[in-house]
Amino acid sequence: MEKLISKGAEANIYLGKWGPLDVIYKVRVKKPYMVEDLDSYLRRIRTVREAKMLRAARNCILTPYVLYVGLNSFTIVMQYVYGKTMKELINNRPDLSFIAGEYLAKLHNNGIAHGDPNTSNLLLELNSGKWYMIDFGLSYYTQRVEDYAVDFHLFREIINVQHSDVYEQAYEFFSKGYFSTSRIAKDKFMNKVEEIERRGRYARRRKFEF
Amino acid sequence: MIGLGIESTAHTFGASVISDDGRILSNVKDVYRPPEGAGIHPREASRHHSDVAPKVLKESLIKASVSYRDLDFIAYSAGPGLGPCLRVGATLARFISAYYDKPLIPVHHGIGHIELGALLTGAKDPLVLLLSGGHTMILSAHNKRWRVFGETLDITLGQLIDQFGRSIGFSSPSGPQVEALASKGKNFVQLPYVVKGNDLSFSGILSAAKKLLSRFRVEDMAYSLQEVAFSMLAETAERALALTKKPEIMVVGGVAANKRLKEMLSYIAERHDSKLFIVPADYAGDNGAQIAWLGALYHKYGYKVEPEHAFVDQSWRIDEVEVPWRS
Ligand SMILES: Nc1ncnc2c1ncn2[C@@H]1O[C@H](COP(=O)(O)OP(=O)(O)OP(=O)(O)O)[C@@H](O)[C@H]1O
Repeated sequence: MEKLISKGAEANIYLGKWGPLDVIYKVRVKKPYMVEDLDSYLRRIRTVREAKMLRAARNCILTPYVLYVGLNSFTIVMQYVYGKTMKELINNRPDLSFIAGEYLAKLHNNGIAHGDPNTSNLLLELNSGKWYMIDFGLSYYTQRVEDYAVDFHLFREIINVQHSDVYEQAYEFFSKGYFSTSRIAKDKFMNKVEEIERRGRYARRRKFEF
Repeated sequence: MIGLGIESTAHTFGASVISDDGRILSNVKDVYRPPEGAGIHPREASRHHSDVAPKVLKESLIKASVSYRDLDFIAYSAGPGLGPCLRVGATLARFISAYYDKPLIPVHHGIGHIELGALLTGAKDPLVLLLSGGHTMILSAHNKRWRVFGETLDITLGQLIDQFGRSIGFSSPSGPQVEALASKGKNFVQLPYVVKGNDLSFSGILSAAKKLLSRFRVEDMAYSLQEVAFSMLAETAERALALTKKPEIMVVGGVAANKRLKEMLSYIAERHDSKLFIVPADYAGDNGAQIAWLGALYHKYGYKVEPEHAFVDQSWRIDEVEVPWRS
């Protein structure tokens, strides 16, 4: 009766029924390679967090309705969004990433970091033409510009690796969308993003002939 | 065709002679060991490299039964790494190149790990986990570049292990010692698990683990540190596999030698119908062969610099470097 539609790293996604409604069952599955304590701890807090933040984000963007949260089964039942992911569309329509920028900035304006913004986590509902954002398991409340800059960096990173053929355009639209909506000054924000991108590599950038 | 590769990014001074069909004719190295409990000091390390260089170079040529005149190119590790260390290798390479009139090829250390890994394991187009001292990255090749899928936001996995090792008195690099200790741990202690998208943060684990050393057995802390850090990496690797659907996954860099990590990644590879390749332990750490082999690949494409334009780049970004053989 329930049909597996996606086997992610973290969760299995089933299409099923909730009364008369089409719904998604997102079930966080056990990771046998992790020690038991860590695995169940992560599944629990992410299920709780995702349900909470899916609801919280509704203040400013569209997210699927949460119908049920099962803490013992690590399951969230939510509205099924019939449509396509941005990942499937962006290679022909790099301008769509404008929406990604806008949605991310709206979350940030409301003190929320998504934690995992990427092109698989934006769904275009075909009937309504509206965009939904999903996958809030790593999401959290924060007022730190640094956390927002990490989100921005993550999305840029993903389009660079997954949509490299249209990266330049997609990034430009993403950035436009973001700064059309964000309350933070662009220069200051981009300095932060660049600082983050340097940090994991080597502290200083120095090239010289000798 | 044969060429020489010189490695000197951090602890290791290495030299290797390789043929352009991938036969490693020699691979000699000498590793700088800081005093126990201390970190690498760039100037001390570079002094070590200068001291051992003549011996290492000579031995690499003798083992390969060649002389400088027989070489077709000289490759050196131009970064990223520690400035004073990089300069030792670069200066020597430049000198040999100018004196014997051989093409000089500066190469990227991290890509050296990857391409040597591909040569030795036979992986064709893998998702790569680059886990060396200076890199913790998940990459895949596309359009003549190694593209970064995910990376650390602060310290690398190697630094996490070495710095933890140092705080309990091991000299760096201390991966094998920390691993041995961890295998005796039994009780799991929760440490900060920080995954953001495909990126990771290890600095919270380090400070928490050091602090908790006063309350828990050192074996349990080593065990928990490995469990949390490797689980983070395994999780992001799995996400990358699920998204890219690559049929191969390859692990390179010093941390690749860790058994527990291998166990986790084997599980993930199997779940996603991907084949796991791990660089042989002898070549996991920094070495000259990774530089020589990358030099050989570039040599086929005619890449070189004039000796007066030799450079080092302490923070050379991996995704800026063109790799023409990777479509
Ligand atoms: N409410 C929904 N309506 C329609 N499709 C959905 C819905 N939720 C999830 N999906 C589909 O399932 C996929 C995976 O969902 P989600 O990102 O929540 O799971 P995940 O396991 O966290 O993924 P990841 O592999 O990124 O960790 C989405 O990209 C989308 O295609």
